[in-house]
Amino acid sequence: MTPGAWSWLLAIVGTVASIAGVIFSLMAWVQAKGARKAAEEAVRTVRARETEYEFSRLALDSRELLAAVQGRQTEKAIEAANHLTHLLIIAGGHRAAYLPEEFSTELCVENLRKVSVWLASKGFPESPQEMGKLLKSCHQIHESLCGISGSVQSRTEGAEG
Amino acid sequence: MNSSIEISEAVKLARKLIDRTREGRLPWEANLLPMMAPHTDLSGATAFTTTLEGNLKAKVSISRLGQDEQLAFSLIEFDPRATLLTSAADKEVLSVSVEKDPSFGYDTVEDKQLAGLLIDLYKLARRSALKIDGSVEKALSYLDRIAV
Repeated sequence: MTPGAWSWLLAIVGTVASIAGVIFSLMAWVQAKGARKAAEEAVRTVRARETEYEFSRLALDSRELLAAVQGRQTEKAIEAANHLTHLLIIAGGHRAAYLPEEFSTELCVENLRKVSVWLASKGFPESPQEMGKLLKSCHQIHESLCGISGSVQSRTEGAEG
Repeated sequence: MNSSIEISEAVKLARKLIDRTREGRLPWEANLLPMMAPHTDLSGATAFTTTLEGNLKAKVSISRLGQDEQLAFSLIEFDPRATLLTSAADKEVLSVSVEKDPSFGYDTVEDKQLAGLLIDLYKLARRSALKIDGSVEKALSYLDRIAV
């Protein structure tokens, strides 16, 4: 083999090696990207599960509020409303990305505040009509929180399935 | 009970009515009862209407139901040629109502949004019907005049 042919051969081998290098780098990058996506998906699923759990706890707390209102236990009802308001403000803030769009944490918090302020300032309503409204509001808060927990759960299961 | 379609239509209409009224393009009038004399004091009126295209009018009102105040909005088709004697019944093509300030909060975000818009529209319609802006302007210009 002549020196010219050797040099050609080496150039070709070098080119093939560099192309192979690029291909392997690309494959590694694609795999890393896939792994990152899978990791992000896993994090999202875990957070959604945590949201579902947190809101199912809040739903339980709202049932305590409902029971206190039904039992006309003023102190217990005020405490339950305040406790729920506090937890809902925190949960609404850090779980916002995982909550269904149709749910408004603000409206729920506003209604809880109204319940708490009314009970603290006026006690339980005298008129059956107002008492009915109070009970309806507490039922709605409970139903909303149960609904969120269920909605997050079904979305998580849908994403996993 | 309003349906979600009615609420969404009323929200769209209320937004545009507010904008056009603010721009001064939509005059409102107090909706007096038919038997009331024309020179009746309008400041106590709680219902206001504005005529839209030809045979359509919008009405916004506040009424008291026991302890609660109820806001109502309707879009009405009427016969523009009708007189008191020949008047055909007006047809409400859209009618919604919502509590102004419910003791324990609104049921839905949409109800709250609608109530907010109807409160604004009611205030603007009342200002327009009672020509409040004109009176304020007149008072201000009089006060400026006597200051010199």
